[in-house]
Amino acid sequence: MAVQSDVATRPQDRSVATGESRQPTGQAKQAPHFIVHNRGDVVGVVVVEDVKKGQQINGWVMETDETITVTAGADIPLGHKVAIRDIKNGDAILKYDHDIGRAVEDIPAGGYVHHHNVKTKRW
Amino acid sequence: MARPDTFLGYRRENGRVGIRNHVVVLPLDDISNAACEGVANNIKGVMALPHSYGRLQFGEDLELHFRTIIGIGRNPNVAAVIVIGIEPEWTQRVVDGIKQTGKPVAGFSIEQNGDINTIAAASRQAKEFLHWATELQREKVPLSELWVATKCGESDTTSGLASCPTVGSLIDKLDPEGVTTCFGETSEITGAEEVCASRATNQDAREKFMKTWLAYQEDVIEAHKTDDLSDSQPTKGNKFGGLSTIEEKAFGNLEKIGKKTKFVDVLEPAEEPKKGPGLYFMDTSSAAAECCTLQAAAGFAVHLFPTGQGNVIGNPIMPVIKISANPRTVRTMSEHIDVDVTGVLRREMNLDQAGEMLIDMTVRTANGRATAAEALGHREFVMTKLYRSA
Repeated sequence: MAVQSDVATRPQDRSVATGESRQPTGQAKQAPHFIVHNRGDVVGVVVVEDVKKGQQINGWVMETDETITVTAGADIPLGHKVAIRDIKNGDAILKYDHDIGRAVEDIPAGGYVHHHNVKTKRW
Repeated sequence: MARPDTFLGYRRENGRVGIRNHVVVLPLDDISNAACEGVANNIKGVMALPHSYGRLQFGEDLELHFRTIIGIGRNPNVAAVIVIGIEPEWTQRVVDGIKQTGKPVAGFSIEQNGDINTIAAASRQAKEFLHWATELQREKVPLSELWVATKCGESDTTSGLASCPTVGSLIDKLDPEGVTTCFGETSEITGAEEVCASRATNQDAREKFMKTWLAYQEDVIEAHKTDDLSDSQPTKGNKFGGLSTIEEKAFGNLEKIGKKTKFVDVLEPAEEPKKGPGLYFMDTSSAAAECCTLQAAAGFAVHLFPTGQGNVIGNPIMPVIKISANPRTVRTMSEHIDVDVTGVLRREMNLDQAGEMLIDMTVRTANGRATAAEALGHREFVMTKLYRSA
């Protein structure tokens, strides 16, 4: 193929191959299964497509650059949240160091956190 | 490689700098769309901007309609304008508003002429404007002359993790350089409104923001809701992408304004900034096409649009740059994405590097690179309507 994708994927990179052949640059740290914004958060976000129930998954805490591990309590889709500690019914769900809603059931560490067990405090 | 501090733009008569050089055919009202499209069919290289409104509007809604239409004509990405309306008086009002910039503008009205004669006369004028505009040359100008708007769409948790903070990184880096920037989405700040208010530069801006946000809650949500809104906010796409509540969505959204930049003023929809360089909050809908249209009408030249699940929005006169951190979206919708920041989620790239990459793409776009949305013909031009017409 003569013309390559022009999508920018790396700083100052103007000619990057498309799709699956895209290779990461060097000095990559271990790619995390999930990412936590802040140290005080009670949830992380799954950033890979294949987290299965029972799988041990590692997470990167962006604020502190720590790595943590939990066992997934369910299959959790890309972009969806995993509890990184035990959450009690009624507890605030903390993400970005802020309250993003309340738990409406007990959620164990590793559990799947979404609108089935978290409700907004706004409407 | 050093960060670029200039770009190649079109210096307009009023001093503003555009990054595109459109000759547009602007309908005053919905029933003038056909004539505008007729002109664009005749004269290759001019662009008609059909829309749905302009008849029997009144009060604040009518003012917003004029501000939007006139603002689109005034935008520095537009070299010259043909205005067509059903009758001459309101057509002239639009012409006069655009003429203040000094750019070439001519109005035509349909009553007593009919579509065919109007199209013929307007086409001859459009052809002259096109010859003139296509001889204009780009010149090197400081990066601080670029007006940059932002809004996110089809957001998911990857928006809050990487694509929105990438825009935030750009704003934190370029705000000290004197760039003029704009964010909006009154409804989708809900849940983070106190944090947003704390980012005002002064008490006036803070109070203006809270007043705007509260008015939205009372005049729009409380007045029109039939349920608790959980079905609309977050949207189905947001929930599919993992966002559970409006609060979670709002904190992700707010990442777009960076960690330290403060906003200098709050704008009415489609209102041009008047307090010099800096970040502005505009009272807008969170629907992508409405928000982008209002920002273009306020004079913004380029748009940064982080997306998670893959919103495909574009704008006819303001290039919209798509940024995504969702690896599935980048794989399945690659033709829509200009800047791929999935590397942040793999720890291959940090947000500082992602911000530099976005600055590079923004300058390349300003210099003339067509965005994905431009290449794919996305020209969503959508008026914000405040209430039904008389």
